[in-house]
Amino acid sequence: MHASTYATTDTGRGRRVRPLPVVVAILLAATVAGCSSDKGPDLTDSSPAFEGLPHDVVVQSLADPSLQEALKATDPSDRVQMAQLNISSTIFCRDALHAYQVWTTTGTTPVAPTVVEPQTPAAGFDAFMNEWVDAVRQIISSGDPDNLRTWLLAGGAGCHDTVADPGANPNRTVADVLQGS
Amino acid sequence: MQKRRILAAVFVVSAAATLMVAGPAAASVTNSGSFAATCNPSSYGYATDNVGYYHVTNLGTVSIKQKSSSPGSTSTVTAMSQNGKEFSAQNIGDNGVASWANVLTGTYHVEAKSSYDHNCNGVLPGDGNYTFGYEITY
Repeated sequence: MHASTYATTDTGRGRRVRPLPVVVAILLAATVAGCSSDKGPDLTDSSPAFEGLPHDVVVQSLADPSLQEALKATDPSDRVQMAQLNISSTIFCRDALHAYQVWTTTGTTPVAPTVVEPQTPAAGFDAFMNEWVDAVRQIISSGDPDNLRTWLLAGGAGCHDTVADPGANPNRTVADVLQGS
Repeated sequence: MQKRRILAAVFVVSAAATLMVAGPAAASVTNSGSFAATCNPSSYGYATDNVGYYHVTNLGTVSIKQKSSSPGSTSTVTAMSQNGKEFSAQNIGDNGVASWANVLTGTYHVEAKSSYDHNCNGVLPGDGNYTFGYEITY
């Protein structure tokens, strides 16, 4: 167990007791050290980490303030994985919602969505997304669309707050669609 | 006699197959930890200890209890998945429990910040931090 080096907290500082040049030098050194210890990958929509993913979804995800806050609070070595998973799971959520809608509209049992992967998935990417695919595959094999609806509405970091169709409405989430709001 | 043995063997094999499909019920696990979280949530975000907890049961329950806070504080708590998506935030005090149902399988990190701005730093500048002690059941 260790305290986070990446937490965005208010540390406060002691009162000034040293001559000004010394204080300035110490603050400068601390700032440089702080920056270098928290230096994560520079993730932009043109980063190599996102090659193979749809550019519009990459742009949408990186513009999400909650993802940006999550990335800041995460160990720099895990940030690429988090961003890739955020983008691919967003696509997967939209595809799963579409599968549910087709299922309930036509009565035809859908096929579980596949994962849209980046060209170079980070370590842990496949393990995470495979869990999602397996879960949805099992749910579909249950034969009851309500089970897929429950999974899509799951409150714990799942699909419920994913924007369903940003082109139609940038604020309407999967939960909004399923709950008819 | 032989037919009876064959039937018994078929029964044992089919029972085992049923168990494999259903799988054993995963028992929940409880762990504890602590980290420094901000007392100035209007200016600073969540803190975490970056310890990942793997929640096995798809659509199971995860709960976080605030075991202690020093200096005393109520907290806004959540948990973040590997894909950067968070649980809906809940406010709790010491011995309070935030709970989430229908949690997907995955690894989660505990996050917390004070639920209100207050001075945890005495005469020093800024509001400082408090130590958030927690217990997570997943």
